[in-house]
Amino acid sequence: MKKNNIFDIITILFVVTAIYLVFFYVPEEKTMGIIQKIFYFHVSSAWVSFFAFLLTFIFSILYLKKNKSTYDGIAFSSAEVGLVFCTIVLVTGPLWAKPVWGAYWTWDPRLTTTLVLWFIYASYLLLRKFIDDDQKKATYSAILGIIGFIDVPLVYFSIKWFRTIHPNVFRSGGGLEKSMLYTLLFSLFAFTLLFINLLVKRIKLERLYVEIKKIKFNRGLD
Amino acid sequence: MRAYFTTLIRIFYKDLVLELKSKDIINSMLFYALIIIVIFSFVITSGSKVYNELSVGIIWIAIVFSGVLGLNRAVLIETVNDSIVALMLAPVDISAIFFGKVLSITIFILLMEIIIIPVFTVFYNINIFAEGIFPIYFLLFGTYGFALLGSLFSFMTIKTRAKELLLPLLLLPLIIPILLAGIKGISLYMGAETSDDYIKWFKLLVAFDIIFTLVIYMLIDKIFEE
Amino acid sequence: MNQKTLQINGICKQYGYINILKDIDIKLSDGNILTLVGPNGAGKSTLLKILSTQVRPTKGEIFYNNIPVYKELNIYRKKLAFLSHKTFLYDDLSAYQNLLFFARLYNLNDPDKKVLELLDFLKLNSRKHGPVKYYSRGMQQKLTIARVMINDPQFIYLDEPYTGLDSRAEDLLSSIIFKKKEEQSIIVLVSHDIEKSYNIATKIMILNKGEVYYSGDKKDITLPQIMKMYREVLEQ
Repeated sequence: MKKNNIFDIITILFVVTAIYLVFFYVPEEKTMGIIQKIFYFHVSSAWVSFFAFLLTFIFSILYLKKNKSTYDGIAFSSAEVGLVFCTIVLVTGPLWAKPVWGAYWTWDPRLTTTLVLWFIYASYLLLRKFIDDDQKKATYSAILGIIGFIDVPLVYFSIKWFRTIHPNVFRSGGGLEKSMLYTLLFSLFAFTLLFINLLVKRIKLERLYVEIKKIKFNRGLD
Repeated sequence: MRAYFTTLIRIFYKDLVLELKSKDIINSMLFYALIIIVIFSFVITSGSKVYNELSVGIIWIAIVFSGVLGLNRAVLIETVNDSIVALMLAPVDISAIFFGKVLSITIFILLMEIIIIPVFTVFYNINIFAEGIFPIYFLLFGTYGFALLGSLFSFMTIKTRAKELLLPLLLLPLIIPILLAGIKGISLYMGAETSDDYIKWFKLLVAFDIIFTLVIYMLIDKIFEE
Repeated sequence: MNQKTLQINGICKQYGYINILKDIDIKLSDGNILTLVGPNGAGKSTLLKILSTQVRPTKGEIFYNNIPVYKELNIYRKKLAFLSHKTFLYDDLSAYQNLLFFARLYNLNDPDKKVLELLDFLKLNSRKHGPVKYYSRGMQQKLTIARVMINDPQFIYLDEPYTGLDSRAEDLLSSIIFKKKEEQSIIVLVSHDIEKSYNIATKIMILNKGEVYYSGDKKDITLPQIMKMYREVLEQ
């Protein structure tokens, strides 16, 4: 119990520091102004959601290999938390884009791929909702977790090539100013910590949920 | 190896005989695809600069959406009397049964394409084969990839509470590469400028098919095992 | 020589957190007919599915003729039959096409001859080319039974086989079970009809909540005793 509290405090400290760095430490970008500050959390969320789906992929394979429901719990929890961060990417992206490019949504390859990613993992959660049998639920969603992840690079390249015919309105990243780079790296780390913290909590929650179901079943309540 | 392909062909032959008797799958797909082609004609105008690309897109949308319909039907045949259990218990490779089913669905969708593409040519005044027959390869490989993932997910979704409702939700995001390769590849090939860009798309499509054939070959036992 | 055996050791099956089967042992040999009795949810059907390789056990092993089943899966499957209340038939195909498809799938020698023999036996020759969906229920049931036995199985698993059968199909099934017993096949049967299955059985096992409640030879126990134990289990 205590260990968890310490982990929570560390996570909060890092996230608060990241917020401080973004708002008070790092200078405003010359052309984009204050709105560019959303970039730090946008990129961090994108990284975290991708990492989360990678975990889902790995634990889906492990589940199919070892048939242990713990692995299914981790794969599922990671997909769910990942989807939250993926949603953050999809919300912060347009917020950033509107003042800068004049439109909320551009069919930029990365943003579009993120949207497709969102659909894939939303359907992953949907699939689970519609299966009652726990074993089938785990197996089927593991298969989707594997196929979906392998599909991501193919989706990315196809969207990237599809759009290159039109003029590319995006400047390349170029060199980041040093303080900006540090702030970005710090946010990345803080968000990863936040993700791991949430994931651990979600896995525990899932375990408790299974525990309750088990008790209910044994008492003939289910 | 020979036994594997014999099983595959037997499943396909059985589906073909079934389909020749009922014509359920092809008829419903065909009708749906034609309606899509007609409905979408109201959306685009022929003066458009990207008319080719839009029109080719409509063919693919017709194929994909009617394909979803056909997939559900083709899998329902196996589950309605639990004949899938009988297939599973037969002394043959389960993946051969699955790929036999993929072959049947691929062929059914291709048959539908053979009918709707001439209709499309008349309605939209576009001949996708004007510059050569290469678009056939896009249709072949695209249809196979679609049938491959489609069969996998319809065998899964048919056993859920949502049944056929769930299939498009799972399948459509995943087949975006096929859709884009099919649309862009064919329209680039038809384009005036001589460019080999369409080859890149064709390679993507083939890569998609190979990757998922291998992955599904490795995973397929898990679907049918309880 | 050529003795058939079926043996399972320490079979467990878990679905997530639920234990469907706990540590089941069975040993059967030539001509044994085992009847599984128990209330709903006792794990009878799951056990039958494990024996017929539809479900893999979480723990434990299955042997046929002292060979692990999953080592020579397709050889075992060639010799097994599974019958439930589903028909396993394709409604739009004819009796002839249905039988031929499965005969070929099982790689039988001269499938055509075998199929025609079966159709003759079922007295279906005149209607062999009509779609199965137009057959009467009883006829479909008889066809299903014939279809399932097409590979001359030696290991036969019957899941509530009498449920919903009409009297002619029931007679057919009984005669096939009798014939298969003469041929020294191993049969495992799940049925709600305790009296009927007691009459057929040579061995009886009562399952309750995934565990063996009673297991023994028919000669050691009378029908009233079985009924009494079954009621005990139900009341628990």
